[in-house]
Amino acid sequence: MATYVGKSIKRKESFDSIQGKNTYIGDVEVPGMLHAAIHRSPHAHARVTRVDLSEALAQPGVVAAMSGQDVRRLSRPLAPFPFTRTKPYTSDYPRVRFADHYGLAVDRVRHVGEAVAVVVSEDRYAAADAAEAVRVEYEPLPPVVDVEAALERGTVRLYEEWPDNIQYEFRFSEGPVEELLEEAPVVIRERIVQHRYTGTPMEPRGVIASVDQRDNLLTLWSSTQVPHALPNLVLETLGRADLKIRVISPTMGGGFGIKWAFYPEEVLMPLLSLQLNRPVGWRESRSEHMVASHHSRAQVDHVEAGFDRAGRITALKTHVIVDLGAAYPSGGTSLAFVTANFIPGPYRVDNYATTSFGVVTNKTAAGPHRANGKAESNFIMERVMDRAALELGLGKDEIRRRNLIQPHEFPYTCVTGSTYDSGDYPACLRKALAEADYAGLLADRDRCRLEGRYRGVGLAFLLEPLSSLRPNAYNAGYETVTVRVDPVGKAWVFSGDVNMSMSHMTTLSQVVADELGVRFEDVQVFEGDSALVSASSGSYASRFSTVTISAAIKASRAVRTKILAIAAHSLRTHPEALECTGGMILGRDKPGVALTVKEVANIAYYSINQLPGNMDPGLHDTHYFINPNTSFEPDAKGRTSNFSTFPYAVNLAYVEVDVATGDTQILKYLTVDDSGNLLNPMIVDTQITGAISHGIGGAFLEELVYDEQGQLLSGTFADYLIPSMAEMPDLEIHHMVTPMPFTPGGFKGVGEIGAIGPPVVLASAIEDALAPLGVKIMSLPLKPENIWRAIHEKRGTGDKR
Amino acid sequence: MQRITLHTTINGKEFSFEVEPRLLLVDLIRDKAGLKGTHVGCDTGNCGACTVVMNGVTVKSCQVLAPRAGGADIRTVEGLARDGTLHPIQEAFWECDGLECGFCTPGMLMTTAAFLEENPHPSDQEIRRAYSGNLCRCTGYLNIIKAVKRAAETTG
Amino acid sequence: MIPPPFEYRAPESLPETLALLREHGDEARLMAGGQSLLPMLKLRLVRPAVIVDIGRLQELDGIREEANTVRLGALVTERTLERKLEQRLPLLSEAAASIGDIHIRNLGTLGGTLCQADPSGDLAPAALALEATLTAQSTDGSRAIAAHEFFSGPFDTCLADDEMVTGVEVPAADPESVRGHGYIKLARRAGDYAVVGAAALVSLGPDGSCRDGRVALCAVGPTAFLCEAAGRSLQGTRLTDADLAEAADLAGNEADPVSDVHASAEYRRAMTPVVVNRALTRARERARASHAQRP
Repeated sequence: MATYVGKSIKRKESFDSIQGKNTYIGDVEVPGMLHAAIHRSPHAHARVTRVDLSEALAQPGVVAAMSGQDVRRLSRPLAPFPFTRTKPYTSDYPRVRFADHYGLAVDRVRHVGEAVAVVVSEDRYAAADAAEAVRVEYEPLPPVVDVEAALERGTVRLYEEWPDNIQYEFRFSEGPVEELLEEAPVVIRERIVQHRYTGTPMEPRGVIASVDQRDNLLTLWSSTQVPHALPNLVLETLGRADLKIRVISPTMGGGFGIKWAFYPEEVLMPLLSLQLNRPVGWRESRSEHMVASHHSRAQVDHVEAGFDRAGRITALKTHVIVDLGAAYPSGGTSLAFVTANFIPGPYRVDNYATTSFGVVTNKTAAGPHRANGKAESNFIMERVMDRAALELGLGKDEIRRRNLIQPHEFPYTCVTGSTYDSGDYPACLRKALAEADYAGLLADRDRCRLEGRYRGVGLAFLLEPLSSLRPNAYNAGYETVTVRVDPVGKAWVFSGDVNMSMSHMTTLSQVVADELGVRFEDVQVFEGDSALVSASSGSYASRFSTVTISAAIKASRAVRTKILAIAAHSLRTHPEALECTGGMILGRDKPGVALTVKEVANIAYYSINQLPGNMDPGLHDTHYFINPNTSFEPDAKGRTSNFSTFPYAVNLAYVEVDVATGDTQILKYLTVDDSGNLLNPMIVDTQITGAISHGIGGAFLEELVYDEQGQLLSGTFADYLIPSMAEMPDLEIHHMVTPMPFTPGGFKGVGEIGAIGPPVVLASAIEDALAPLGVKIMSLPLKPENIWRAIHEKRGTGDKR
Repeated sequence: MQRITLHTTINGKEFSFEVEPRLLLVDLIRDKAGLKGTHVGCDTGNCGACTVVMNGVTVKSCQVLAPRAGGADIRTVEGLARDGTLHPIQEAFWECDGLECGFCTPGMLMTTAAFLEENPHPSDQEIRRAYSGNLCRCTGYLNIIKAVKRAAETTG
Repeated sequence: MIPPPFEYRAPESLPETLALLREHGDEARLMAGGQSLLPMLKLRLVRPAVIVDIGRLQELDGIREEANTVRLGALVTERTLERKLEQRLPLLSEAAASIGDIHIRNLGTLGGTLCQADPSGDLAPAALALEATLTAQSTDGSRAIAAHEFFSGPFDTCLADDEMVTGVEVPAADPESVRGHGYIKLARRAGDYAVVGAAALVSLGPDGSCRDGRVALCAVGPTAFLCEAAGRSLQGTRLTDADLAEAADLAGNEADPVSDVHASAEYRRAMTPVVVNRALTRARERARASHAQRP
């Protein structure tokens, strides 16, 4: 019985946050801690010929400094993440190449901001001065900045041991794609350019390492989304099998995928701490963050889509070229995999061929960012659908309707092998059109057109694969939760997840309180510490509500079964005759409290002579919930199924474009989301709103701009523009609910899909607004200058009003 | 190295510090006064996570040198709740779900404290303009607008 | 990011300040509100040996409204300009309101932002259009500098190393005419530096024709500047749409922008007449509204 699940309960987490009482990584104080500062490369590509630490070491307060040579002597290359050097990653398909990067660059730098030397001081301010005093001699090399140029024959290679700059290659083909494209009466052929942007959580990263010699225990505090992967990665890199390691990820000031990586500082601080036998900490500044924490999204795509006369897709062919930056262990290769696999999206596509490259360039490494690879795949397909609609003379709604997968087809195995769990796509589209008064908007648009105003309606159908896994990788595809009722009758929940900003404490409390039958207030949740549970894949891909919540439900049910068994034994009745709610055990038929959970706990822990025969003392269970609806084993076509669930949404935007400046005003933004059952509707809507603001930033403002020399021009928050309140439009959020059929709670995950929509739907709306001018939008961002340029190319100088 | 002695009041409590003149006010508050609720999110005065109230007006404490705190009256997020009772602004942010990760929240709350004193009944548009110096990456802001309006109702 | 070390001086009086400037010359950097200086220090783009914090010079703070002129102390904050000059100098108020955000405006000062001489700064076009005069002082005495002579290049002014701006005088509007103003800024986000910024002032005579027009620009040249040709072209016209468009084109001809991460030179050049036209239109509508209310 749901007392808490499905209700908009205020967040437990907020209580500390509104009082400034959270302990973020920058607030962690370890007695005797030294402060590290990092000297970073000013060059995009250069040989490091000399690192002189003497001046830095002579600075007051400085206790140590290290160069890349020192780090190479003391450790191994950074262990690969998330893939390991095992099959299938060491095989030819899909091909992944690994690069040997150390905690500091050794003899070559491959992006601006790459760590070259580290200094350690008693004082944080003095450390910054000393890092500046490191003298490095570089021999500049030609930088590889443009991702397409990186593929050209004879171009400079970032890694000389590789034959080219391709780090990752994935090919897939199903059906006679070439023939069908040749036969198709309508073929859309486009080159699409998606720009580089990233998550920029408000809290930059930080790492602290401390070694307890008595226990040979290394404690690592890191603002990481993968506290359970780091012990392996760090120890492998340190080459120290003798150490134990505990990783603590304190309250996180936002992650958004950017903290899902193995970063050099996570081995540098342990290395320094081991050398100095003192705790050593490093706090990333925002300027460092912009060059040292991973980027995302950049890719160039070639797409060909054949349609029959009725507007149905007959064949699809894509070539995806992802700009990975330097090959650090940041998980960037997954961008190429996800994009290529899910371009067909919510549509029935039976014939599909793709080649996907992850290509290294002299830029900061790419990695996941909220809606990793999916923001990109949706953009490609939805641009194609809009162009096809125009070509075929169909409405944007109509062409989608004719291609959507139908409700009776679920579970639907898509052409690349994943199984879409559930949904009713046409109903979602219908609901969006009705809620937005689509016909009314089109009529208003047409009226405005007559007045010379450029308004347009954008429509996008978004599909998001969630809760992903990879075999033999650090995201192996399950989650671990321990639920314990303690001797005083309170529930304790230990999860392997990380509380980034997604209200895990609240939602886990809701679920566990309902499942155990205790009060919400009596549930205590712990996360973000590798000592809590044995293994976890961490926080990413909106997997929490699919696997973590499911593990919590299963563990809670096991504990409740035991509670009721003990109570039944004590009351000389059957467990089925009892129920548990609010911490009280009641007879189903008889009114009145029979026992409390606290009394049962007392039996379970102390009066163990009263336990049913053969029952162990204690009330606890640990559940490993394996990603449902997935398969590691390739099927007959060589396909694996790497995602558990597929929430979807229809976004609709109505905009007006100022054709003199290229500026877009959002008049209406509406979303209809189907994320399965809603754990906490208030939290769901905040997640959707926040994700949409990321998308709006990506659509209009946020851009990691590199010049031809590989210098990052948007390296501070003065130049990398994230939306403020003034740029955020009002939203209309609607829901559809198709429960996830393969999990006990029916939840799907909701943290990312909002971030997919804005670039897609706003491109659609702007193109519609500018349809009288024949403007086509095939690249991002949609910043005023780019839109103005597109208009300008079509109609000359424009008016000056 | 030059050291400056300064006396300052933070949340009604008097402090004396001896500091390097280049010390940033935010580090004075965090490291010297030990009040970690004020956060640092950028280097350039763009994010507002470090917003505090100094002499009655909001400032970004990472854009102020510590010596400027000499003789000043500073209020931080830790000074909002009194005797264990949350300030109505804090209640409003909690009630309206005006936060997620909480990193920008202290700055948002202090901005609200000063803003509502100046404009007790703001419109949406006035709120949007007034908060352009406080970035939030989680909420998408709409709940913050609601929270500010709720706080205006309860404090006004 | 952490500022480099420096010596810190916080003089209590103007003479003490001027003596420090004389003593340290170009080794010293004045700090008023510090809202431009602090980011530059933290990014270590500047490394002054001495920072002279003039925050205590109360004699430089304050607004004196006289019949023919408004005298503004160098330390008047942007927030004060925004809030206290809405009636008397609404163009300056409007330009001040578009700077950064509230927190920055609470500390940022009139003198500080003008001396920063950022080519994209918002107050300079307003000061130029209003024909403001800056007062500069050194131990040698004081001199008046017209706003249009003050800026000498990006982040550079005609001040000597030992000189500082102590105040700004703005002449009052001609009582015989009604004035309308407009500051329009094209920027990436609310409060960002201008991609193009245009300040416009138009005065209408009793017959409703334009007595005087002024257009000043920022972000489209090495300094903010007054577009004299544009202003002149408006004189005596009825400020029709065509008149404004002509003035906007004239102003556009003077734009000589550079590219940066926020906008290309080409875009800035193209946007200049658009922004000027909008600023002039706003100024005209306001002037006409006031004119209509005149007895």
